[in-house]
Amino acid sequence: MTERKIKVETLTRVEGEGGLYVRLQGEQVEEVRLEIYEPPRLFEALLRGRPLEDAPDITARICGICPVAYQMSSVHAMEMALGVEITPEIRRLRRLLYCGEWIESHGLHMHLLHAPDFLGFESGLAMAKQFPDEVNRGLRLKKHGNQLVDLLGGRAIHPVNVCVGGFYRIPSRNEFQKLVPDFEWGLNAAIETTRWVAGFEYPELESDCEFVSLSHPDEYPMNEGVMQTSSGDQIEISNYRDEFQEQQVPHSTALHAIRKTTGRPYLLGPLSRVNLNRDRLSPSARKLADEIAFEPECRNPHRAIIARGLELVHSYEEALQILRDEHSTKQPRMTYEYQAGVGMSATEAPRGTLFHRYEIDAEGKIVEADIIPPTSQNQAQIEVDLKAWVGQVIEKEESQAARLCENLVRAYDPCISCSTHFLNVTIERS
Amino acid sequence: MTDSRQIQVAGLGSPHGDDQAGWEIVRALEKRGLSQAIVHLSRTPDDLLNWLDPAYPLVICDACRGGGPVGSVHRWQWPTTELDQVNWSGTHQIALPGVLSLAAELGQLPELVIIWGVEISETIPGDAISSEVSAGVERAVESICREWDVIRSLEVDHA
Repeated sequence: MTERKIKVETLTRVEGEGGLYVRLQGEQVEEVRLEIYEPPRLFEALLRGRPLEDAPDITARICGICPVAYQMSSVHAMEMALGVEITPEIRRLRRLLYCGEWIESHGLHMHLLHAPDFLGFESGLAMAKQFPDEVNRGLRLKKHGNQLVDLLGGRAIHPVNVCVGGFYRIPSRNEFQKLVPDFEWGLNAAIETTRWVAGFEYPELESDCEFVSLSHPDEYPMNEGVMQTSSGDQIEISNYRDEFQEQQVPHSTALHAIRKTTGRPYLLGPLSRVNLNRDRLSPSARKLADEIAFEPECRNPHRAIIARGLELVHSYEEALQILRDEHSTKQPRMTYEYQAGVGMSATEAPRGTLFHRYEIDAEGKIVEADIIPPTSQNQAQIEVDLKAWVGQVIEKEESQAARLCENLVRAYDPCISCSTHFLNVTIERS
Repeated sequence: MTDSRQIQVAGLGSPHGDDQAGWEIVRALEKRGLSQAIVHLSRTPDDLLNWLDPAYPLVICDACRGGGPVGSVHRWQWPTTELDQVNWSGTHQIALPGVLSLAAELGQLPELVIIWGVEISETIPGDAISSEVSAGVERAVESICREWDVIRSLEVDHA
């Protein structure tokens, strides 16, 4: 029986660099490895000994495309440690900021990174030749997200307005109102985009994964709630590390995550969020989900782009509601006294749940930091799904099989830069 | 048609170590008070597509790898395939050459695009910019200033 090895050196159209190794014995898939090399946890080490106020600023530097997520997880964790309760106004504005990041991330990913796979293009550039209106639409949606993060975050490239306790400054009503016309256009564009992707032809793949996301009884999850699983479990954030455990794997320096209760990997991200929280999507997003007949529990990872579309619609609709409202600028942030303590938070980055835990001392210094990004947690489940997928595509010519594997990895929109060094793809056939 | 009265200047980079090179060049140019500069700092190359105006020349400043010793300064004028020989940062593999190609395809790219790269090695989060790259930043700034008025004085191409 011959051994085959297929190598894809570099995954394209994913954040960061990465690769995939697949080894087959004849037609039997022996091994699938997402070979992600995680650098030393530099940021956690960097944070030790620093003032707790540095956490949102330093962690925002971890990722160039989801800085808001890192800031949200860090400030909520610190506020828990300090016993700070934010006002409903601050709470709402933090959701608005997160809407900006989701719009930016989902808009770009759907149009320029993932859609080309379904339309037979090698890249967003190649697609732009035949679909310039769609690409321009995606870029305009991304721009809106940037504008919102710029306004409320203080800077698009590295938000500086978020602080423990709230914001350094709340923009005026006039500043918020200026975004309304663009966001009204954007809501319609998001609906149009979701209808567009719902019409793509999707490969069949059924994942038996466990879906996991934050969940809140009153709203679509972003900053608060408990961890919900598709098997019906609810896990308090304070028990996150007890239930969602990182473990070493022999083939990679990247840590994999499994549920302690089941011993199995799990999936975070838009597909999980929509599957677990569909009834709390905004009215337009819910109506659209029914219109396009998006299945109640979608188990095909390729269709995650539709879930992103529904979240795009939700983000625009929620953002519009908040932008149009009156906002008090009198108390942009809560005051606090230092106290020793431990705080934890899980918030929903575009790619899934981002967990932060901090221990602080009585002088307000960080003693210990633990950051678990969503892509790290998804790696094990991505490998499981890839193994099933490889079995379906392996009879194809090698370069096509490798490309189809890449396509599946892109469905998860992995943010490899958050947690990895680089990734190469190798498929060994024997 | 390109308007020579203003120049768009983009610094690409991140707050990490030598990857700050692009931002540092732009900050230094701002301190020099160059006339008619429209300045942007971006974390990712695709940010250019948020604000790029085809009416004005574009100068891009970024860190790069693969073109020579650390701190060395390179200049390219678009279009050029030489950019593909260099490693650029960029999220989602939409690196700088891809973004410029996309902008051209969408009719957003100015006629004149100049790219300045400062050679770096590894970027360590939290690190300060190295002395070699700082020196390269200074050299890039001098070179950009020398050709600034030349770019601004280019004749407008009337259709």
